[in-house]
Amino acid sequence: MDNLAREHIDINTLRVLYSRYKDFIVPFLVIVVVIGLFVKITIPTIADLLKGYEEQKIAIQTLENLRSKLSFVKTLDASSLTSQFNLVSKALPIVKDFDSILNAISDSSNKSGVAIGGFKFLVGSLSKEEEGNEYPTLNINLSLIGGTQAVDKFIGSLTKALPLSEITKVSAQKDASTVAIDFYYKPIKPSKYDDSLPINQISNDGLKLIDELSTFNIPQSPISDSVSTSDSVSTFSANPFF
Amino acid sequence: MSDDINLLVKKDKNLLKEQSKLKVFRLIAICSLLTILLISLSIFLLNQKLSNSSAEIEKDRESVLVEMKPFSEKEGKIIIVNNRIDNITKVLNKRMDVYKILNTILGKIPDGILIETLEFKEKKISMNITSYSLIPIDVFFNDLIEMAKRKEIVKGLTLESLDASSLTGSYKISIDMNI
Repeated sequence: MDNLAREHIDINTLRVLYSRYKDFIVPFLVIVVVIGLFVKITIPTIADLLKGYEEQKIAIQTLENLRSKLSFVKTLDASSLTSQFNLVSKALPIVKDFDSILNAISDSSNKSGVAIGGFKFLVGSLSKEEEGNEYPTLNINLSLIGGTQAVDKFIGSLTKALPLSEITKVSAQKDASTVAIDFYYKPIKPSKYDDSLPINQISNDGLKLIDELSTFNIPQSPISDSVSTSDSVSTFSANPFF
Repeated sequence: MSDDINLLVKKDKNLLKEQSKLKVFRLIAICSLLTILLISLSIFLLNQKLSNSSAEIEKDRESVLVEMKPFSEKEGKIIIVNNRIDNITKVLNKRMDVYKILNTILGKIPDGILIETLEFKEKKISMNITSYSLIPIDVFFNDLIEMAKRKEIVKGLTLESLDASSLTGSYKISIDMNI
């Protein structure tokens, strides 16, 4: 009985409240809906619009870069660029360039007058790129006929030959010597073309380096095709050059 | 007569108050509705403008890319040339100029000294030399000591052994150099 009375009281109260505030209901609902629309739709749309403007800014920048790239590439001298490309590719090949290495050794041997007794390539994997080494090398051990002076002459000639190399070990005796040489190469990592990146022209230091490299010996002499390499070690006891 | 006991007057005042509240409430509702409409319209127009200009930029980009196509080889070459220059510079800075080192040390060897063996490995040079007189050995040592003092190529110098042979009358010396 009490519950029924309370319910009646509640319904009555609601009726009173409704009759008193019924004019407020519609404006109130409108305000609630407007706030809901603003929070759920308008704010995300404004954020999207601002993002769109940012993207457009980047697209305009990319377009500007592309235009400047185009005008820069148009001004490049094709023959000069090709010779620069060939020179730097010879200096630091992208692969294990046996041909150039053998040519460099042969040329250095000829220029220094030092005969080569034999050589041994430590090739490594021919298919996989050497991991964890920023500047991978192809190692070759050379036997030279001659003592310290012969080694000095040979190294002097090889230092000025391409591809770039570094002498890692020398063992010279009176009439026979051995030299370990690391020939550098550097693979180019495949990358996705990004037209937003500008092309830089060759810096002054770069041009100086190219001039310096052009004074190096770039051996062109053909090497015997009889050279063969295994996956790990290739050894030639006979002198291939003399 | 006091207003407190005049119920009719109080009721009218309350009604007026309620009505003015309702008016304000309605005004707020209408204004907010109009504002949201205006904002939505503005966003729509700005979006239209943005998508139009984006389409124009994309069209321009496509045309520039088409124009660039014949020069793609040149573009690739200049990128590789710059990449190689960077790497060559690093290699040249990193590598040890063994020719300069050996040439300098061999250049210091005076007449009368014979090099028996020379070993170079991992920044260390070991030499075995022979001479029939101590004078050129002394000259050579002094030069090496001077170089070590100036830290010119030679950073450390160790005399491993000095043997004198009464049979041949020669001196055999073994030296280690840290470079």
